[in-house]
Amino acid sequence: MNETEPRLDRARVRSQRETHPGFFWLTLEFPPDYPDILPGQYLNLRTGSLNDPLLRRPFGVVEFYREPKASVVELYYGVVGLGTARMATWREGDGVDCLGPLGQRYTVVPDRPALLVAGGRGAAPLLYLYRLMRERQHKAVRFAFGARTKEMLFGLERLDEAGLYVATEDGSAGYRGTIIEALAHRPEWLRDKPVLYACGPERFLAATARLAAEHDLDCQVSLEAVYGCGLGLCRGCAVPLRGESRYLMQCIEGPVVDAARIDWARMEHV
Amino acid sequence: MSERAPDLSVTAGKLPLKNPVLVASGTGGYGAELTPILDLTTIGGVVTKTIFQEVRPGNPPQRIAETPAGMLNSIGLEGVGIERFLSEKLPKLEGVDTRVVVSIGGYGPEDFARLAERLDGVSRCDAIELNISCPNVKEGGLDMSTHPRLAADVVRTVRPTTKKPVWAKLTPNVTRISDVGKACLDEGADGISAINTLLGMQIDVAHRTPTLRRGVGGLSGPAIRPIALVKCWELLQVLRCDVIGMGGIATANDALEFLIAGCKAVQVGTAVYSDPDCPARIAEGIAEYLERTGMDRVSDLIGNINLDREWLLGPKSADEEGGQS
Repeated sequence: MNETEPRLDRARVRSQRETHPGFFWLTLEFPPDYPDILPGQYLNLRTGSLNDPLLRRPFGVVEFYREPKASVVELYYGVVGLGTARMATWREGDGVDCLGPLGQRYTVVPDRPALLVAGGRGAAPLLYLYRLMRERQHKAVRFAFGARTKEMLFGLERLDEAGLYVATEDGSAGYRGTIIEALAHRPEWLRDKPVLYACGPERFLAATARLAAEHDLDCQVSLEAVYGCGLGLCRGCAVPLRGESRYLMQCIEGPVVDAARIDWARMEHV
Repeated sequence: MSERAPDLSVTAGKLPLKNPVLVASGTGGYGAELTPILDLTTIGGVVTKTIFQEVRPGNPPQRIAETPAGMLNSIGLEGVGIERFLSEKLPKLEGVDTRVVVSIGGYGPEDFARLAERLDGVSRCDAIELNISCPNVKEGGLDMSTHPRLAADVVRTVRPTTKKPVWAKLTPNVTRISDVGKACLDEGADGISAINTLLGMQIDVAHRTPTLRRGVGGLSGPAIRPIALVKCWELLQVLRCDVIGMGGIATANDALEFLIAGCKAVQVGTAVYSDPDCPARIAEGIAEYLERTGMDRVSDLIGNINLDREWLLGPKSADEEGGQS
C-alpha cells in the first residue's frame, strides 16, 4: 500500500520555534537518501524515555524538501500532553527517534479544482499539499482555514491571499464562526465541483464530509487518532466504515481516507 | 571469557528456539508486517495474532489508551479467520528462518480443538499457543483461564488433535495462577505462556466517559512487568514447568529478569509498538550479558538465581506447603 517501506531513523533537530505560547514549528534533518514523504503521510516520533510516554506520536508533515546534505522535514504542533510537552524542550542538534514515512497520502485529482479545508493544526499536511499543487500548476487551488483564534492560523505567509478564506471562532480574523459555516458565504467555491482535501479534528472532518455530501463533492479527509504503533500491528486505530463490519486501520490504510467510506455516526467524537 | 559467541538456543515448551526471544501474540500482526523494520531471523520466533475460525471485526473505537508506562487495549481479537490466515498470511513467512507459534482462540473447547487439528498438518506452524485469557470480548468464556476447570477442558480437548507443542497462555487476573497452570499441565500442555494483560480502566475526564468503548481493557507495557515476573515466579516455583514469560519486557535487562527467574523463553509485546526492532536488540543484549559474565550458554542462565541468603520467598510448592502446616 505504501509507496515506500517505513524505516527507523535518528533525525536531528535543525531548529524549533515557538510561534505563539504552546505552539511550535519544528524542523528536522534526515539523511539525503530519505524516502519521499508525500502530503498526508506522517512520521511517528518517540518523544520521551523508554517508559513515558510509551507510545510514539504521529505528525503530518508541513513541508518536505531536499538539500544537498539533508532531507528536511517541517512539523507544526501544539502542546497537548506529555509527548508534545517533551518535544517542546527539544533544542538544535538533539536526536529524534523517527519511524516513517507512514500512511496513505492525498490523491490529487489533476483536472478538478481543489478546495483545501483546514481545521486548526490540521492545516499541516494541507500547507504541503498546497505548495506542491501550486508548483505543478494545479487549476484553481483554494484554501479554507478555520481555527479558534487568529494566533492559531499558522503558515498563512505560505498561502496566496487570492485563494484564501479564513474563519476564527472568536472572530479575531476573518469570518466569525467555523470555516464550514463560512463556506456557505462562498457558494462560488463549491459551484465548480472542486475536490475537497481536508484535515482537522474529527468533528470538523465530519462537518466537512456533510458539506461535501450536500454538494455532491468528492472529499478526502486526513483523520487524527491515538496510534499504538503506526504499522498496523496493534489494530488500535479502528475507523468504522459505511456498510461494512470490518474496520479500517487508520495508521496504514489512512490517515487520508475517502470521506464517503466512513460511517461518521459510529466515529468516537462525532 | 568464552571465545565463541554464546549459545542462545533453548527448548521452551518442547519447541527448540535459536534464541529465547519471541514477539508476543497481538503485537506483531501475523509476522510479516514487522519485516520492513525487524529481521525475524534474528529472534527465536513470532507468536501470531490470535486466529479464530471466523473473521472477527473486533471492537468499535476507542480501542486503545495510553497509561503511565503502559497502555490499555480493547481490540476484541480482530482477525482474518483461519482460512485467510492459512492462504494469505502464513505463506508470507515461508522460508523465514524463525519459529512461528500460532495463537488460536475460540468460544469453547471444541473451537480450539478444530483449529489445532487444522494446524497440525501445517508445516509452517511450529507450535500452538492457546489464548484462553483475552479480557476483551463480550462473549462469555473467553477468559477461560480464570477457572482451572475451564482451562483444563480446553487443553484436554486440544491435546489429542495435534502433535505440535501446545502452550497455554494464562491470565494474571486470578488469585493463584499456579492452580490454573497445574490444570493445563495435567491435561498435557507443554508450556505455560504468562501473562496476558491485566484488566484495567481509564476515564476520559473531559467527556466523563470511559476512554475505551468497552469501558475496560487489558493493561500491558512496562507498568505490569513486576506483576508478570511474580506470576511467572509462582508458576516456576510451584509447578517446575516450562514457562514462556512476558509482560512489559522492553529491554535485554527486562528479559534477563525473566530468564534468571527460570523462564525458558520470553515474549516481547507492547514494546514492539514503539520500538519495532527491539526484539532483535534484546536477543543481542542477552548474548552480551552472557559474554560479560562468562557464560557459554543461555541455558546456564535460566533459573540461575542466587538464593544463598535467607530470602523470604513465596509461594512454596504444594508439597512444601503441606509439610509446613
